[in-house]
Amino acid sequence: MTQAIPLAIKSAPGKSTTIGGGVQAMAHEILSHLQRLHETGETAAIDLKSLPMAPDEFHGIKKMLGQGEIDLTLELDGPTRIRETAYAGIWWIQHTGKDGRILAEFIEITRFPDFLGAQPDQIADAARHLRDRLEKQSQGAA
Amino acid sequence: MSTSNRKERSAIDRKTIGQIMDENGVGRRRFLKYCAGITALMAMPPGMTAAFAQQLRAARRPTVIYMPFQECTGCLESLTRSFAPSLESLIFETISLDYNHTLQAAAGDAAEAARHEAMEEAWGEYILICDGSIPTRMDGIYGASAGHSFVDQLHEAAEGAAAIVAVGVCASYGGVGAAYPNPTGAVGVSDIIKNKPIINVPGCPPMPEVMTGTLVSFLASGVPELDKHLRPKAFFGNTIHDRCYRRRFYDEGKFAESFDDEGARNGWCLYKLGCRGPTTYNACATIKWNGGTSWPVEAGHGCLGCSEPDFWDQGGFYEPMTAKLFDDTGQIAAGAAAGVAVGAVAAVASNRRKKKLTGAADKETSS
Amino acid sequence: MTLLEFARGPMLHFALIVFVFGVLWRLVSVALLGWRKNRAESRVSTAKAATGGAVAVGNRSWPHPEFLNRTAFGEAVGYGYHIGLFAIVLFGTPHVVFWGNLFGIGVSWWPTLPTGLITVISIATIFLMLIATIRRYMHAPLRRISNFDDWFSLAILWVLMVSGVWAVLGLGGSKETILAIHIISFNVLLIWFPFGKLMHAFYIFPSRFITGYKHEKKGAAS
Repeated sequence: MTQAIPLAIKSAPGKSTTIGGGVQAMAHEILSHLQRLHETGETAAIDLKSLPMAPDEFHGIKKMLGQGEIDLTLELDGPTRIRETAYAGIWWIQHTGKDGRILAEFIEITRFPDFLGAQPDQIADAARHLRDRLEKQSQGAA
Repeated sequence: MSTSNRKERSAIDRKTIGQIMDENGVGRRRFLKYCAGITALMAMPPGMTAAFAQQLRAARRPTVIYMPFQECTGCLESLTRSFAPSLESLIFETISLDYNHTLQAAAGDAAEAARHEAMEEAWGEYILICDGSIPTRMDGIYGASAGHSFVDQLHEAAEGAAAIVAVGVCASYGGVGAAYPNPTGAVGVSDIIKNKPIINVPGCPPMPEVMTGTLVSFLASGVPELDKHLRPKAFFGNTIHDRCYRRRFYDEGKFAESFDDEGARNGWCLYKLGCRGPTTYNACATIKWNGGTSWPVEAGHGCLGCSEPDFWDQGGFYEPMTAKLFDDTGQIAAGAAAGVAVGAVAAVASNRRKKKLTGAADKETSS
Repeated sequence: MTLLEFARGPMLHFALIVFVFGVLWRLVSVALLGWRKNRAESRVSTAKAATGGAVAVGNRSWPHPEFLNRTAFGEAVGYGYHIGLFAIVLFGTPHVVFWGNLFGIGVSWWPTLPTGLITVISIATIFLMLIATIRRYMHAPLRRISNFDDWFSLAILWVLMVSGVWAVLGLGGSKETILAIHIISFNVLLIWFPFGKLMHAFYIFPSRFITGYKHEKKGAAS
């Protein structure tokens, strides 16, 4: 081996290459979910990792949906970001691991994402703990 | 192992995964996040994450016995590759890995005793993970551990297992050990054990996320949907070709003709360089390797088809899957020569017969 | 040995040997038959006769105007699926790669058509083959003269076309098995080829040429 071969690797598609359904198609799908949410209360979610999308399509849909009032980042072994888009009822959720790898990314069409809510069995546990604590306090006082 | 330890272990083993998570301070939301990662891996709809998390929390912490046979340890290496605390390490915290040659500190009789104890305590409920093929020639003498052949060990370990996960292409179908001429008579687990649920997780090695995802899926909801090779459809349901990011180049007819040529540098399809994508079922194209960094085709090398049976014997890796698989040592030329000879003989014979008939006719007309 | 290994291994090898043997046998046996001494005086030079032969190949490739209203449909359908088959086999990428590997030559110079176009041509070819098959059954005289040779040759082509389209469109089932079926049916085609009417592929052009040549020599129209 004498010299390194200058390699110009081009593996990404060209600019504005449309692969999947394109921004329009996805927006239409989101719209139909949103209408259903409004009419029947039925929630939906779209797994962004499962759709073959060109990078500019991904940014396109992100830009189109915009940013709403809520932008939360939770620290759970790596950041989890929950954003409300500019459209009420459309949320953008990104779970990232500690190494920066995106574990899951999806658009949820719902009143508020499942993830934000307290889990039912967690509530039961919390009630039990609080009751135990209050009992202990009253015993201590007595 | 002392008696008190045994009691302690039994108590631990009856806990659910949810309880263990709580004790280890893994909050609900953190657990839900991991489940979101797993459901995304398995291409389950995101709406199912909550239900999946609940099922997993309710599952009891399983005992896992990991038996290595005729293997290279590549599968275990793949399984233990984790990038920072991640879902792989969570799985290790979740399961009770009671026997593993490479990872355990114990050795010799002590290790074997520990294994038998763990098996007895969790009889009928433990998960048996196998890697490596099982040699069967000459009563299986080609592979032995602790004085017993691998065949016998497999039979013994399988008896009390709730399910068997055959990890790697060797345990699934025989793998490299079974490649021509297969001197040890190597076979996969499902060729020997016929009366237990078996899940094959093939690959050379299999992807770490596929192995852990399969284990977690089994914990949450039992044996998943399997294809005809007993592989979980969630990970092995699509061919590499159907999920390949270079597919549009295949469809347009743009191929790399040799490594490092113009087409290769442009990232064109590697079909002509022997890519097995069209006939290989695995998750490399979507999940990718090394924490989502890349995978063989993205790195510029065609798929080897390493999750398929007999992949070692399908001809050269740099020839397409449809290439001829025979060696012609003059047989076709011999056939051609024979054809010419038979044709010549047929023509001569036909001409002679014609002459005889016309000769007879001429004689008739002239007389 | 898997089915695919068998199909592209020993079976392909055997099929190629039989094909080469059979085709050469039939071609040589006809070529060496020779023909009767022509005792008539030649009306034209040999060169002109050869030109006449070449012209006949073209002329006889389409029916005479008098017969067109009866035969045009059948001819068109036949041409349609033949052209389709050739396009798929000669310009479809997986086939080009197969030929290159079979003959041990590089094929970077060989043009290919986009997969989408080949798929469309394949569907059209199947459609035309369906018409041809139905016609062969419904058209009473044609049915009368059709024998095992005709039906069997068609059957092999059907399996080839359907398995090929099935594999490309991913219509379910194991890709390896469908590929194996495709290659096995090609092998069966190779083995059957020299022994039936499929040999028209090799015979038509020489035979039309010779008829034209002979007619020219006699000064007859062809």
